[in-house]
Amino acid sequence: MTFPFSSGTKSPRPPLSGFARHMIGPGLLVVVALLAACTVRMAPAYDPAIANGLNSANRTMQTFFAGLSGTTTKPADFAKRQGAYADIIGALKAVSLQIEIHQSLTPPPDLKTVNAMLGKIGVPNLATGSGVPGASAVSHVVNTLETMEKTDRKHGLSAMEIAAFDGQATIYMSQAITYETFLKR
Amino acid sequence: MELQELDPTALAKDIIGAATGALGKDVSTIEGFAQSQVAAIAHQASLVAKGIADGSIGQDLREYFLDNLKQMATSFANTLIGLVEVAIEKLINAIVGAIWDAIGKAAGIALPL
Repeated sequence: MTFPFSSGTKSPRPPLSGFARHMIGPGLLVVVALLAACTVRMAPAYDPAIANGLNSANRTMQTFFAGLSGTTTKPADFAKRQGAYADIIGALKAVSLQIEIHQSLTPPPDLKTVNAMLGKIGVPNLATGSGVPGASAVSHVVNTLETMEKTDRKHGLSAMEIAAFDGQATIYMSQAITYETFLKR
Repeated sequence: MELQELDPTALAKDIIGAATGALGKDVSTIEGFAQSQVAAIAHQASLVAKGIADGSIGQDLREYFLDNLKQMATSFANTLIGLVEVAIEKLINAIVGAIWDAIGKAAGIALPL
């Protein structure tokens, strides 16, 4: 069962016996009523298809960067790389769409309720992130690859520029994979 | 189900055990991620600075890479918050589970989580 942070519904709970009421006392009955059972959900559910999709796109991307490492490119031979760009960007956009669909089916958590509960016992509020990390990081990877492709097509890339695109894409990809994998709980 | 009187001391121990178990692995994972990201972002900043200084990063990409250094720091913080949220979720559920289990045993009922 899940608590207000999700759309879970409560299942009927058997009433306490008279003996139990006597034994555990009214204090615990209040606790029972307050907790009303339930697991909380503060983040999206894990989706193995998303995690696998990200890992697969990452393998393709890392292979591509490894092939370019230490080299320079020229617009004249851009056609040789065009297919690789399309494969990586296409795979990432597909994962991005999967994340979007997954989020629409499991809406973002509501931290307001948790923060209200924490506030009552003097615990500072949890900050809310801007957007869901996985989706946001994947969109940055896509943007990195698209910018790299555009520049490559226009006037080629220096070895340093390739290294900078590689570093940038890998950092964002690492954020997305870590978050999506961490959702497995 | 055999009824057991709820022992607050035992419950407190159970809660601490549940909380420690839930947090232990997550703290290591989050710490490892944070360290590796900070090192990677620092390396990227150094790479971009060198590329701009020696001209090996073209004029049209300089602002783009600099802007992305800020973006990746924000994205890193955003990811970190997301990981902490998941860890807190697991912590709350582990604590509620321990309380629930104790109450269930005392009340003689199986309380659904």
